[in-house]
Amino acid sequence: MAKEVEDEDYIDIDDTGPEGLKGADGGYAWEEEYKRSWDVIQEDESGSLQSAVQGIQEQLKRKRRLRDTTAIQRGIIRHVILVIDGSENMGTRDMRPTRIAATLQILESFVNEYFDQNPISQLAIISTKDGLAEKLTDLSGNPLDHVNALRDKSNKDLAGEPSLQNALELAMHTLRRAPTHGSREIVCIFGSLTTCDPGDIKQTQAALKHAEVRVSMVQLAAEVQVFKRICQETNGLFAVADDEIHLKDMLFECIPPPPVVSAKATSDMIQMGFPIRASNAQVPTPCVCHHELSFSGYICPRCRSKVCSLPTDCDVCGLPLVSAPHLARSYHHLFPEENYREIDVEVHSGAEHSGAGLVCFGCEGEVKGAAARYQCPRCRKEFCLECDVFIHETLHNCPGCV
Amino acid sequence: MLLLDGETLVHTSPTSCSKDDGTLYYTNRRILWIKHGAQTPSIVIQHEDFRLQQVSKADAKKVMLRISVMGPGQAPSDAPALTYTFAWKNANKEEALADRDKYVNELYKITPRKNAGGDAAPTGTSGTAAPSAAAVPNGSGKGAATMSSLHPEFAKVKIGTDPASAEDIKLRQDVLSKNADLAKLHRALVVSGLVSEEEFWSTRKHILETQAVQSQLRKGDSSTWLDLAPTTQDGGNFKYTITPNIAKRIFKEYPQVKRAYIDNVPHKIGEKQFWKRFLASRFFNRNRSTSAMKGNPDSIFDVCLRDEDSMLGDPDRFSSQFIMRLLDLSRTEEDSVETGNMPDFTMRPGRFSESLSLIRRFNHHSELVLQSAIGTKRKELSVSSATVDRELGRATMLPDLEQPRAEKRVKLNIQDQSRYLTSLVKGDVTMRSSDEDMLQQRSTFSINFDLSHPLSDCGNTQRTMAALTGSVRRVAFKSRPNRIKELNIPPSLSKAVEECYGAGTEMLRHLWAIMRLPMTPEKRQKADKITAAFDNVHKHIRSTITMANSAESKNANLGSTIEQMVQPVIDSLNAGKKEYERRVHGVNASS
Repeated sequence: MAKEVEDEDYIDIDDTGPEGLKGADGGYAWEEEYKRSWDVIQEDESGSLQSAVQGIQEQLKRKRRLRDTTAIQRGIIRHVILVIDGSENMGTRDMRPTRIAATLQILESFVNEYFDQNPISQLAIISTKDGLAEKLTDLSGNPLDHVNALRDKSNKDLAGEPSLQNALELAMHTLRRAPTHGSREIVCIFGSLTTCDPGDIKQTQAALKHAEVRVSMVQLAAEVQVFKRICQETNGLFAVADDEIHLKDMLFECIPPPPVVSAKATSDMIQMGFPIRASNAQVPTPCVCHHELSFSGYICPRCRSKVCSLPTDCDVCGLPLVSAPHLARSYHHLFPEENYREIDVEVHSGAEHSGAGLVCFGCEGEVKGAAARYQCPRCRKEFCLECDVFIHETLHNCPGCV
Repeated sequence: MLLLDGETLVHTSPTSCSKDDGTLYYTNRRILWIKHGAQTPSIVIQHEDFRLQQVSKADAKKVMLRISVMGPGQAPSDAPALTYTFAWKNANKEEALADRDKYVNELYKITPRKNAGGDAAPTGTSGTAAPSAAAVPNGSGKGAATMSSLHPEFAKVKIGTDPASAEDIKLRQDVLSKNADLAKLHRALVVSGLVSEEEFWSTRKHILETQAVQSQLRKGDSSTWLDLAPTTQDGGNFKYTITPNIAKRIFKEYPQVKRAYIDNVPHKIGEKQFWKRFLASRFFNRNRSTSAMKGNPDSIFDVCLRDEDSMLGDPDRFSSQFIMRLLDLSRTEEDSVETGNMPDFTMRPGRFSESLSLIRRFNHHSELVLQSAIGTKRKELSVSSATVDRELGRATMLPDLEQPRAEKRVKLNIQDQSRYLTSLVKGDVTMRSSDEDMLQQRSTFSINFDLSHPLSDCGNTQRTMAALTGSVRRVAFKSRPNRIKELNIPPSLSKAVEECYGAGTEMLRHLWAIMRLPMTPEKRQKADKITAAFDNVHKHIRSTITMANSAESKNANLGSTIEQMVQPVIDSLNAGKKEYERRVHGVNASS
């Protein structure tokens, strides 16, 4: 039809992705009465939806964030307090099965990922319900303590209203013990629109700013101006989660160490111990942290007392004890891998790349025609999309450069 | 009352004993109790005869102290025969507790054996003060005589001797009840007398502080909109539940209801009647859409309705001085002249009278919430043009419309970045080997799978298999369960070892805590005391070893096993002492 030819000359602004969102007769989206988003998924010749689903998955993968790769100072030794809302609003069933159950589950994976990415950091958990705040676990570097506390059934008892001010005050008091060379953060998950505070929360906000504590929050209900202001004033992240997947993404934004913004952060020398493993095959001895008999452990280099697991602070002399792999795991935050350049296939449609696609250097799989390839700027090797994602998210080292 | 030569009075207080009122005297030699009006004391206890004291719980109704004393003619190893109970009759419980604590502390000092029954704090966790206090000394009394004689020496090494106040004791009880690990440690160290109570808590102050902060958190006023929702019962009846909390919130929200309550209850109508009428009235049900549910006219609550309308609908409620100019709509009325052909029916506040009262109530509720949080500070707006301009300027800058500011970041200054990424292994670490090398290396591992020949030269398969299974067996052997039980250490010995460790670790904690801070003369004294106490621990260890060597057990090597078990404590104690001496003498040498 003549109308279709004309339409192709126009730039269709609503064309998102390979399928496009054109309506049934090819006009603009605003010309339609309603948008039929199910038209995006169309069956291919054999009647299966697989290619359409694959296309959508590719799109999602391409949304890989182009990370900032300048080398900046980050707080590697972090002290994070998790504040969980235990009020009645968390019993709403808009997330399966209830907000609080979904939150606790996501928090378990958060705790594990957090200690994976920040092995020398510490975490504590505070819960707030019925206008008061209660500490569930103390600042420690052992993920098992926290996971056990999260699995505790009494967390699912909801009551009253949360109190952000009480939770923040208790968190600040706990963070006071943290040394100044580490970064101090509070991550809150709130599902309530109100907060039941005994005093003026602006004072708490000023105190937080003065103590250089960074408050981030993920809201499950709606944006509340007071919460958002606190997060912004303290340079934290504030987000409102749509659903469980979005909640998980927003929470995991808090996992990479934040950049150091304070001008007075000096690079002091911190004393740390690297204990050697002691495994006495014959005779068990008690450890100083739990006073339980065990055959193997780590000997603190300063006071010669045995601790069961690393990383931890020595119970007797207070020296932070780590092992070298723990520090090495934190390096990739400081020295991030550079982003790969995307190379379009059309540019390279020269003689050498005709016919079969290029072989990816990482997995040695063929990169099919239309898919883009990604090139490392230093070693100039090319990788497919999956290898690119894997290298940047998990491996943190380019196989071509190493 | 007559004091003997050399006797000085330490404490005195009015108490009652066996239902008689009297006065209790505590001197440096004896404990005396004289009934009111009597000349001679009815109860005289020499310090040497004193054996055990017990106290009532902190929240019991009566403040009591019970003393167990050896009677005349008893052998030293008998259980105390006489007990006396003293009760404080102060009206002020805090005073009585503080008073009794004075005695408790004094008696603690003269307790001959392990001071198990002394404080209420360690036994409070088990629930009842008296029976558990009686149980513990019996259990620990069974231990070897040498052990018990050493423990008062431990207990006497006091570092910081402020007696704990009643709140402190309660705080400690709370912390112990919440934290099972700490309670276990506390039982093992303090209750058995190895470490004194104050020492135990002096390195764990932060736990107490956190508990104090947590218990001091106040609950604020509820800020949600009160929505009394009924529950439907069988038969179509609705049930409203009004608790005192809800009643308080209703009174706060609607002061006229409060006034009506004060006026009418209880002389005119009963409380239940009042609430019944409240729930049935038009005042409560004015938001219902169907007129059938709108509620009945009621003498009391219709007055409330009218009062509320007049109060909230009063145009002079807000004096114009206090309203921010940006919020004052009357200032921009001249800009909102009618335009166009049709009359403008949008943006007319209060068009629907049903919603008008609801909107007014919401606004009033918000006002109450802000007032309770911020207080009723209403400052006069300044008139100076500079501040006004600044305020208006600040109000017109919308953060959502601005470009996001990039955060200031501090660049990572590392001189030689490659140093971090190379290993410190000395020697040749070139990983690149040529192809021939690789082939050669591979050939050592290659297996010839040509099955045409019989497998004549099997090589060292048997030795390899033996090595493999041996290594697997070793690992499995190491991690077998019940490995500790196999050592057959008798429980008394394992307890003794635990005590050595416990005492040693506590001493070391104190020592290192002191060493971390800059050294002052008092700290040096304390540290000297601690290092002196190390000798006690060493003695204890030696006694444990001798006990092990002489004990009967299935394990023939018990002595050497125990010796190896306590070796690490000896090492840590020596290391701590050496470090301390090095610091002290290092300072001396340099100064």
